[in-house]
Amino acid sequence: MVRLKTLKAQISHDVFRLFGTYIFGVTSISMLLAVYGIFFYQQEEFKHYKALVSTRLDSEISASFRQANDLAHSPEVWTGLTDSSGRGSYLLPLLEKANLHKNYKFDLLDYLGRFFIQSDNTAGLLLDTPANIQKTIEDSQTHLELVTIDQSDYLTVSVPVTANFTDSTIGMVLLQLDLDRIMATLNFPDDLEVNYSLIPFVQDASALSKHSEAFKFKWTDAGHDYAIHIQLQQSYLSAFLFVMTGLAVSLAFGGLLFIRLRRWTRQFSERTTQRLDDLVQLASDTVQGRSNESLMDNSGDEISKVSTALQSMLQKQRIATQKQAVFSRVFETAAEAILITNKQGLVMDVNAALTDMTGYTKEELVNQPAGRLYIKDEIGIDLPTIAESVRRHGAWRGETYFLSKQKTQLPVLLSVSTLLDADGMSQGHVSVFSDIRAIRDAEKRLKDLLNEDQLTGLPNYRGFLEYIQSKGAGANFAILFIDLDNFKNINDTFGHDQGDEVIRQIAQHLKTELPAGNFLCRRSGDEFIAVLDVHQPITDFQEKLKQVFKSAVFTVNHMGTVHITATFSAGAALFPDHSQSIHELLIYADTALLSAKESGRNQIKWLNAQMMTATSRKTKVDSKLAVAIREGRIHPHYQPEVDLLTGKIIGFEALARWHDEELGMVSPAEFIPLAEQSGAIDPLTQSLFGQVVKDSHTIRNYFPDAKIALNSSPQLLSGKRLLTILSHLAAEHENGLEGFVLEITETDFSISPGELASQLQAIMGLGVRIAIDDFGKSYSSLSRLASMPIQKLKIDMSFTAGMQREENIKIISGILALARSLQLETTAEGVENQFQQDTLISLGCQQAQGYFYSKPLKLQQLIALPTHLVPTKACEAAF
Amino acid sequence: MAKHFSTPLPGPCVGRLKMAQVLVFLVGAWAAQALAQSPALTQNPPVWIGFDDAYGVKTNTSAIVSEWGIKAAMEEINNNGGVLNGRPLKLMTTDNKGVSARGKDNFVQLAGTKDLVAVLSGKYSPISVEMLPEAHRLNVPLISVWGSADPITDHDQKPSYSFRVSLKDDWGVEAMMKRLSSKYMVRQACAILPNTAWGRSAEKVIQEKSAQNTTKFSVVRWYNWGDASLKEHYKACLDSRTQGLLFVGNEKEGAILVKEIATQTPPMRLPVVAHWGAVGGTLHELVNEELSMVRIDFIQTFTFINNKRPRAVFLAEWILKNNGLKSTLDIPSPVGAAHAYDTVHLLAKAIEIAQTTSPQKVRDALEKLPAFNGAVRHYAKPFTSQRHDALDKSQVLFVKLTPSGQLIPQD
Repeated sequence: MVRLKTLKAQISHDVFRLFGTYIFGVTSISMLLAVYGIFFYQQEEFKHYKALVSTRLDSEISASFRQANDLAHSPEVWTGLTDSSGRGSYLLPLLEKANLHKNYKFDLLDYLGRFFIQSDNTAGLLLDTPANIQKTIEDSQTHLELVTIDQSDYLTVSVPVTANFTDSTIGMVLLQLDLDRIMATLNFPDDLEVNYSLIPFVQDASALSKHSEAFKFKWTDAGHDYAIHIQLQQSYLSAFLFVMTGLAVSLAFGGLLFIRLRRWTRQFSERTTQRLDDLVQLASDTVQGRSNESLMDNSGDEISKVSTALQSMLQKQRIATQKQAVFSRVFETAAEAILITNKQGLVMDVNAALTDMTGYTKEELVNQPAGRLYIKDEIGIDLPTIAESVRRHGAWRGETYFLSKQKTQLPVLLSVSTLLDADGMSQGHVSVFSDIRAIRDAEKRLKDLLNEDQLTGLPNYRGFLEYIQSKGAGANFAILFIDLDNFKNINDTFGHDQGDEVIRQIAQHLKTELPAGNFLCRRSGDEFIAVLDVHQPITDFQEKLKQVFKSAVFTVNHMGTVHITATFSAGAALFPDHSQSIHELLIYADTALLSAKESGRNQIKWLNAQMMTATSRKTKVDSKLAVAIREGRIHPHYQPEVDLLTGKIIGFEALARWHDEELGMVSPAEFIPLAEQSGAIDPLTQSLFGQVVKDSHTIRNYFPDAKIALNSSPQLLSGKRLLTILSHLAAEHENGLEGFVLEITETDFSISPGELASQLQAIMGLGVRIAIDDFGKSYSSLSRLASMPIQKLKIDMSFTAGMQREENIKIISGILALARSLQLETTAEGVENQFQQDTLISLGCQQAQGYFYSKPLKLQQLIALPTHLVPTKACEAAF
Repeated sequence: MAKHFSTPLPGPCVGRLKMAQVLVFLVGAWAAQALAQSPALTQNPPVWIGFDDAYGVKTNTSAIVSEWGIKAAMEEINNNGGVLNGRPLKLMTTDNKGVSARGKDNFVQLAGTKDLVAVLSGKYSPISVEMLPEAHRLNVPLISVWGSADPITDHDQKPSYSFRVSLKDDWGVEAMMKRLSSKYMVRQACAILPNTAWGRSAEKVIQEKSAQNTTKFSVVRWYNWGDASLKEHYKACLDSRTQGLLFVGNEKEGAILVKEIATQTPPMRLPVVAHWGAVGGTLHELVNEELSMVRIDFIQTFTFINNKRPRAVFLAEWILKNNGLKSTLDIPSPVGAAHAYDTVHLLAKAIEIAQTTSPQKVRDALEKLPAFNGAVRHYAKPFTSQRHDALDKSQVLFVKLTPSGQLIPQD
């Protein structure tokens, strides 16, 4: 195929090929459709024609036959046939009346088929005697004949006339239907031929040029069947002319379209060529930086879009080129080292910062594996790890090391990202390195500062913890807690500056004196912790250390140089012998230190089994306390309080009791302080008070007048926590807290006397009486006693227990006197024998409690008590 | 029986097979005749007389009875030596079945027969009228032996070939009119007429003669052959307060009329004077029971009853002898027999005068016949060139019909 050079030729070729195919196709289909349509139309038309012909003929024939029969049976006609001259006077009007119809005519014939009366319509048939008349003469039946007169088709019907006065045919009625005239009323097309025959039509050759259909038209008259064959013929000529006209019109329009298309093709190709030229010129101008608005194509079509896109692209390219220059400058002048690698990991480009940083020249690095610049340090990231991360996530950022040309490690912050092409495929990587040597140095310094004691230069506690965590599990060492004895005096005497100086000197001293390889840190104030590796039998080690902790002399400047002799207390525990837990070891060492201090200071105490047990029980109690409170395992027991003279039970003191499966009975003296320390005292108090109040209903069923005493930690007075607990309990019960007594120990109240008084007043407002517990045991402020709103004193059991001594009896007597003067009740606690009871009665004490009467009892035991406890019986009951 | 004496012409519609049968029959007929006649006569060529009548109309008795009269005369003449020196008269009959065209065709056929001298026509006047043009075209005499319509002889043809030995309406209908006034004292009368040449002929007479008569015909009703009822016409007559009825028609229509009058209450039954066509057939059979309920007179020109005329007696005897009838009372349609008998005798005389079988000559001779004493009357001069009617009103008589078919003359 010849390649078409010009756009015009291409368009022309394609357009006309398509056009030709289209015209051919459309014309062919149109022709087929037209031919089929005409054939179909003619078929339908012929059906229609047939129906029309049948309907029309049926109507005309039935009407005319009816009339013919009427005539044949008319007595007038009969008369006329037997009459002679003069019959015209009635027969002619009769005929005239019958012949009013245009489409058919009647004549009267004699018995031989002859006209015996002249009417207007007889002349035509005189030319030829239809055969049917002869037949009717022969058989006296109605017969049909088709005749053509003056090129008109007639259906002639001869109907015999048979009168009732004779049995032979006396004449006949001749009916002639003007078929052409009947058909004319149907307004058929001029070229539609209608042919008639008494015998079926036979198709002949001439019918090929015509559409021809024949059918038999039948009817019945007077019990006889009649039929004529009718043939409809229509020439195909008009249809052919119609199709040919359509074809001619189609070709004419096709020609017109051809001319218009040719003109359009020429114009379109010229215009398009011009626009493409403009586009090329515009592109050229844009590349060269010239802007020519006149060449812009704003028509909005595809070429316009290409033009716009091309210009946009070229402009973007220009901007990109400019950007590239900027980026190139940035690349070269960046402070960070930049390394660009290809997909194979070979260096493609590096910037000046990188060559400066590493000492390599650019030429030494380009096309070399980038890996030579990285090293794997002991804590750093392995190169494959970085590669894997980059491969997965497209980037990696972190710290690593660089190996300079001089093989020195340079800590760097590396940021690697993948360079992607337009399809998102990796083209290589760009790595940016920041030199972080300065940052590393600052970090190290900061770390040192965090772990160092500023006063002594020793590690601080944080440093200790780091050190101790670095120790392996297989280590064997001792932890020593060292405390300078009576350091407070030094500070008080010489001032804090000199105190600090002493501490510096002590630190130096200890560092020097302790075995080599020691780790020493200052914990706080004058406390030091030493960690000593044990490389020898423990007894030798212990012996050696004893020498270390001897008194030492330090100097301070206080109005001249003053020499101070200082002694140390130390507690030591061994890893792993005493515990493998650093936490426990620290507690043990602290316990040993406490033991040393309690043992008179200036000594080192090693942890022993006793210390361990004590420490261990306390620790367990502490750990179980919270659970025990939460699960309600701490219950109140009740110890009766009796009238000394009568033995009547006047009240009960509720006492907390905790039985643990592992620890056995845990004394309140053990867990109350721990509860106070841990803050568990609040829930413990709430739990116990709640149980007591609940039990009080049962107790009062047996002892209606009994007072029930509750104990509270003085801690709860601060922040009005006790008041809050009691208020809530009072609110939950119908009678509030009527009949309850709150016992508080006389201690160093941390709140002001005024506030204490107002709180106690508020508590009394709830119906609670206030009693001082363990009165006389510790601090007793008489002024406070006067100002506090109290109703009762409970004399501490130590006085009762020590009644053999006269002093104690005097104190009890004094307290009783004091109580009487302040109008307070008094109860002696801890009464255990008859002597004590008798003595107290003699002193005038009215109430007492103690094992002599009853030990603290569970509620179930309590309700079994009698109302009066006779001391002997009480003792029996107790034991 | 009649076929032994007659030679019926095959009608135009008869097929070849039928024609052959007829020929065989004819041979037989001649053979039989030869035995009955003298050898001399049988050797001479016959002289033919044609007779056309409505044999095919079943109720019609006129044809056969007329044939009897013809044959009686022929037998008489032939026994006396025939005509034209020993030639026998022979009869050729045709059946017009009451249809005009047939009658006309029959006439043409008969007229074409060699040695046929004349054609006698029967009961239906219109057929005779229809034959007139052919008679004058073919120049063959036409002699009506029953027809009464005036035009049969009253026409403009000269010379006239039509003759009549029968009642003529001109005086017959007048006699009927008079009968209504004289016998039934009818002043206002009604006429019921057939819509044919016969009816028109009667109507013409009524119109012409009404003025001269005391009876006025205020109503004239026309009916057609084949009409199923005349009730409307009769009702019209009653509505016009007419007192009597003049009826022209044949036995079929007469029967209808009699039956319909019989259904009326007796006061509504008008007296009827009827033309003789009704008794030219078997009316008494058609209306056997009703006949006595209606007063109806029929016009006649002849009766065998108490008729002492020698030829009448001869004729009666001949008919009784040849047809096995017991009494002259039983002879139906007597006028046909008498008229035909007289006519054949008149024709035979004319042939003798003419001395030829040429119809023209015979015609001429008919006008010159001498007196003849016939069965009906004495014909002083049967026909003249001006008068072709052999009878006149003196022959008129009225009869009653008995249920057995006897026609009894009345006063």
